[in-house]
Amino acid sequence: MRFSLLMTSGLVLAGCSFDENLPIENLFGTVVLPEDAATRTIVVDGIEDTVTDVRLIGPVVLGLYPDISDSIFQYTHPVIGPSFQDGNPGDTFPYGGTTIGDIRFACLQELNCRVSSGRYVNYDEIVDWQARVGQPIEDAFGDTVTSGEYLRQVCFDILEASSDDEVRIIATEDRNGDDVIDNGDLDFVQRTDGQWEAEFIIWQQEYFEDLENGGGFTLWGWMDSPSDEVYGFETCLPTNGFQDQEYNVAVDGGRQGRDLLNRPSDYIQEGDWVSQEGFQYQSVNDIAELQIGFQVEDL
Amino acid sequence: MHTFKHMMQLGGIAAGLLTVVACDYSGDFLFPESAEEVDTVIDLGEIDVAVVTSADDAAAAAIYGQVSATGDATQSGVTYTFTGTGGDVCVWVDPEFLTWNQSVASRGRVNRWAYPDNLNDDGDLDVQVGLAIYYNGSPGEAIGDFAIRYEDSLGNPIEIELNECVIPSMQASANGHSGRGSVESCTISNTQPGVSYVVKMSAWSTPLDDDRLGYGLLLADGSCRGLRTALSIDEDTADYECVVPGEAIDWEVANGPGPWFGISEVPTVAGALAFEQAYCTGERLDELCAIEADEKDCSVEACFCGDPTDTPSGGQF
Repeated sequence: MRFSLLMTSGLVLAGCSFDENLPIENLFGTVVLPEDAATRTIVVDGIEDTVTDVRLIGPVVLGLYPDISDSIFQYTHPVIGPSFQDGNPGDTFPYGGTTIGDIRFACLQELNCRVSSGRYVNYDEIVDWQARVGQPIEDAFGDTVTSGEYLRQVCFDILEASSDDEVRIIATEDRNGDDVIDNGDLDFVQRTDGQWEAEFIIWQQEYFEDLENGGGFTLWGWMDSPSDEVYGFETCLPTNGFQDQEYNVAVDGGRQGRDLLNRPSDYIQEGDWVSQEGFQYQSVNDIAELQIGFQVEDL
Repeated sequence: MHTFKHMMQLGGIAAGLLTVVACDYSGDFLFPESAEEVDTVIDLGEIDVAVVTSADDAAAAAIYGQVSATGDATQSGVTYTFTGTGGDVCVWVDPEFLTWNQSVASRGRVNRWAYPDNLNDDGDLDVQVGLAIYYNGSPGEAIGDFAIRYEDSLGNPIEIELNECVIPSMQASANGHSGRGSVESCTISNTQPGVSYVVKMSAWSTPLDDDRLGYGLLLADGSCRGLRTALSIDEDTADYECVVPGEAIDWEVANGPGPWFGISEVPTVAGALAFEQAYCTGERLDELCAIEADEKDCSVEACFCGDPTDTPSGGQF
């Protein structure tokens, strides 16, 4: 019996050091956006105001592709495979990807498709931001919402949540370890040179490379800028996602669009920002830095 | 200690016996049965593209048949070919028979759908269309697909299904299917003139009541949108059932597996045409079902509607 236990323990310990030689790793890196990507002239009641704010950074979509090309569209785009269905471009065959900031339902119908995660420190900021861009939010009774705490209670009620962690709209984690939840704990943080930087992790990614010529897959990404009208996001499907019906109030939560990685060109519009260079991996252990610095114009 | 030893021995013998018995296990009972006198892999050959400008044209140009499951893991289905016209071609198939989800909500129930459907008389055909040169099945012998091997720029092999039939799904803009008993259609745009196309209709499911899946198909010149406009069919997919009526085939009257050409030839189950008409014109099916339950003994004869005592309460799913 003792011998069996020793054998089992030995096998378990040996198993811990067993290398399967699978090319699957977590990929780490940073994404950098220029200051202009979060700057816009906002007109409210005829008064112009030039604003630089992290809330102007929409969801950022990152994908790993066989290659990218600048000859398909006026902006760099992943290479596209065979196109054989009328009205449908070919697939880009991404290997994987992630997002920095996800479409979140902020608990009131008026906020459908207008809120990304990782952009707000607290609920007051959501309320204040909407007012600042001239889109003050109203609740289900048509009353203007002025309190973040009210929005928080609506979220807890409608999502049946009991903590901000569950709602996943505002920052709840002290990412920079300064014991304060503030702008430094959002996805994008402004550097001293004015650019915006965010860290990302692509979990458990299988690595692909060109075995003949060397070089691995290419990281490429783009940012969905908020619209000029309601500061909402084109990558959101407004009638999908969370649904709620309470008495005479029906709510559509919205959710992230489909094929964001596979067919980015379906969503990229004027004003969005894309990566012009991409980042080609030479090894699965590379730490990527991706510049998303080209604004799409005149499509 | 002695007892424990005996238990271990017994366990070992039982495990051994189970292993031996398992060797004789085929799993065939998990598959729908193959119906007698109905083929499982059918090729209808070349079909001409019909010009359809009215409901009468559609009913006359429709082709009807039946297909059965194979009884094992191999795919059953129907194929046919057509020649590209240089313009759009609409591929349309209506599998037996009518399926609806019973409306059971405590609030906002839709009365029209409040009576349950008889799910045992429904099957499903999934359509794919592609250039014949890419089709790797053996017509009349084995169902295949349109898959080719593509290598991306890193040399990574990817299988691509060159299916030109675009049907949106919940998750993507293509490669979807319509679901049980529902019409499936797609437009093959700008077909290459003189080039052969294969239409594959694989039997995703066959009716549980007789394992014979009836269908009606239509191959029409122009787009499917144009076809619906010509037939005054609006965007409600329930209305699509009106394009090819009568696909529920009465096996006893049929005296063979078909195919039948045109609505005038097909031996439709008695009452099916009227029920289909009611379905696609928006009549109250719950009222028709209640009448059917009064007039028929559904425990001994086939009914189009289901058993109302088998109704779940709202939120039960």
